[in-house]
Amino acid sequence: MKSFITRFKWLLSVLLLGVAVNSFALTLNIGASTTDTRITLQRAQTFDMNVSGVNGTLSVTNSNASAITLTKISSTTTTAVYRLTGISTGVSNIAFKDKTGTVTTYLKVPLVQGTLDGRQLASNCFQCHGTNATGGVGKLTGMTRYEIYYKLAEMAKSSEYTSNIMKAHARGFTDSQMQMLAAYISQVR
Amino acid sequence: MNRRKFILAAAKAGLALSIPGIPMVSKAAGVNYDVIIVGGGMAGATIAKYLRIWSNYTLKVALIEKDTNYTSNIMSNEVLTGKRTVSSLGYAYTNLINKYGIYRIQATVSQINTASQTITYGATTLSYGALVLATGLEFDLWPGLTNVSQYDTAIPHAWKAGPQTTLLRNQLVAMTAGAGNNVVITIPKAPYRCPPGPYERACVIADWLRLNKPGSKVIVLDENPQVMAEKDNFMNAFSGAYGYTVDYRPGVTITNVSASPKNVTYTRPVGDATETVVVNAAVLNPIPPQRAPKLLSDAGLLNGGKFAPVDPVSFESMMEDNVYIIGDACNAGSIPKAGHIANQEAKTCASAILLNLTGYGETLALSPVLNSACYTPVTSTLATWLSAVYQYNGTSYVMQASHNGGAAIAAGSATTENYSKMTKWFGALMADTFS
Repeated sequence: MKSFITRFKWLLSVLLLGVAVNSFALTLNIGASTTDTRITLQRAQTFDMNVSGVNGTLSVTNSNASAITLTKISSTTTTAVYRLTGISTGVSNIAFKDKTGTVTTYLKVPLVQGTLDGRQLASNCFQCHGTNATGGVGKLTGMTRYEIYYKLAEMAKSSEYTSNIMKAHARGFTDSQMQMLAAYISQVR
Repeated sequence: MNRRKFILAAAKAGLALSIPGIPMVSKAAGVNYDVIIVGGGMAGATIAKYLRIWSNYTLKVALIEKDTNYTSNIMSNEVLTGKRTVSSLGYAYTNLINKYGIYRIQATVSQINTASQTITYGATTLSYGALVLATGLEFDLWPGLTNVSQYDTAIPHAWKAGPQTTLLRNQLVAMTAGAGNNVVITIPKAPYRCPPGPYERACVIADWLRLNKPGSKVIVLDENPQVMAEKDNFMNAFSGAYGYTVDYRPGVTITNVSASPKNVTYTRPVGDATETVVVNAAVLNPIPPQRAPKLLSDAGLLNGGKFAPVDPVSFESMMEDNVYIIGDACNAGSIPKAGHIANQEAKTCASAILLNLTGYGETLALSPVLNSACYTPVTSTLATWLSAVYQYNGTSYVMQASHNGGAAIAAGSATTENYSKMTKWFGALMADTFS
């Protein structure tokens, strides 16, 4: 018989670590935010971090540049945009520090290809749209993540959900899940 | 440097991980197969394929299945009406073997030993890193029956597509038309395989009888209190919306099934009393109560129930480590037993196994979503559909239907367009599973 911890290890990972985030961009307000974030990036995937509320000089440290690289895209006196790119399997802590305080973002590039949540969510599409969404009743590859997401979000709002199975299906996903699965499908090969 | 550290170093050096012959597994080192899958139906075939794709073809995966081909249960009701043949529903394991590199073993597993992490068939014992049981179901005897062979020879349940489906088709063709010569279908208490399936069968047979056996009708004896899926659509059909009617009797308790003469005895409360009724059948289709196979029970995976309880986030057994149960044999709460969602259970379980075997499971959060979809013919040209999407509830640890106030959504009406989409859906689903 299994121990309680063994049985519920998945749940524990959810409770302890929060939900993995992979939205299109994230805004950190250093002055207001005390919440650390956790992000999963796959190899070659990029992610824009919008930093706002900067008070004084912003310093950024990246604990593992072999896993994640960090490039400043733009900045003003109170804001900055950094582009993060997954390079190879590993974890990195990226800390944004100003006069007010520090916000740390924990990033992971997983060994298994594909952002896990996005992949599991996206695989719901494959029964009808083909493995990796490349065929079936209609391929989804070739669309951008925004096109996939907005189409899904629009269907989810439709009141005609008993006349179209996709309108019914779209209602079952949260907004952030739609974003995650769209991001996965837009880059899957 | 051990194998796992070597792989991590290789990954950091930017080397591709799909180097042939270098499994990325550490926890499973020294076993015959990283993953052994028992059962090659919808769930088993899907997880075999996706474990290979998602591990960049590094995991060594064996699929053990006794049959040469899989025969789809989905669409098999259309064999009964002559629209399809059993052979057209056959799916070979060729793509899994040649395209995806699965080790296919044609055998019947006789024993699972979770302590030593081994399975046995014939005189062979194999060790595993993770074991996936996608065994499907076993069928119980209805009261009055003495041997499951009665289902094979006299009164086919045809709830696993194959020879019994052909036998039932032949019995329908051979039956004498006319009042009193009826087709009787029994439905066991839920959970059973494919919630809308028995009602779909009643519809397509009734539609076929209307044209081919005038005067004969379908009588449905349902142990459930009401239609278990797409209630409005099926009740509409039963009451004559499509030119046939079905004599539907819910809330019965079946007390005897006789293969010769063919009849079913049931009791049902009527007011304060209980009526006992014997229903004669020209063709008897006794869909039986169902349970996980004895193999799982013997391995201590059922915890006294009829199905194997699993954590619905990973489909890992609640009873034993490194054992996963997907498809109809598992108890994953409200998740239905059906082919489309079994495919999704397989993908979800594949993700969990990959994380567990590669050691990354502890640090990634999982919040899976599982979708169920099916199209349902109600005549030879009209179909409806059913959609349900299940979200994980982290407070109660169960999967819950997440849209429409926790209920599934059914098509508003049966249409020819749905019938056409049904064919495309079926083709796509089987391709995602076997091609």
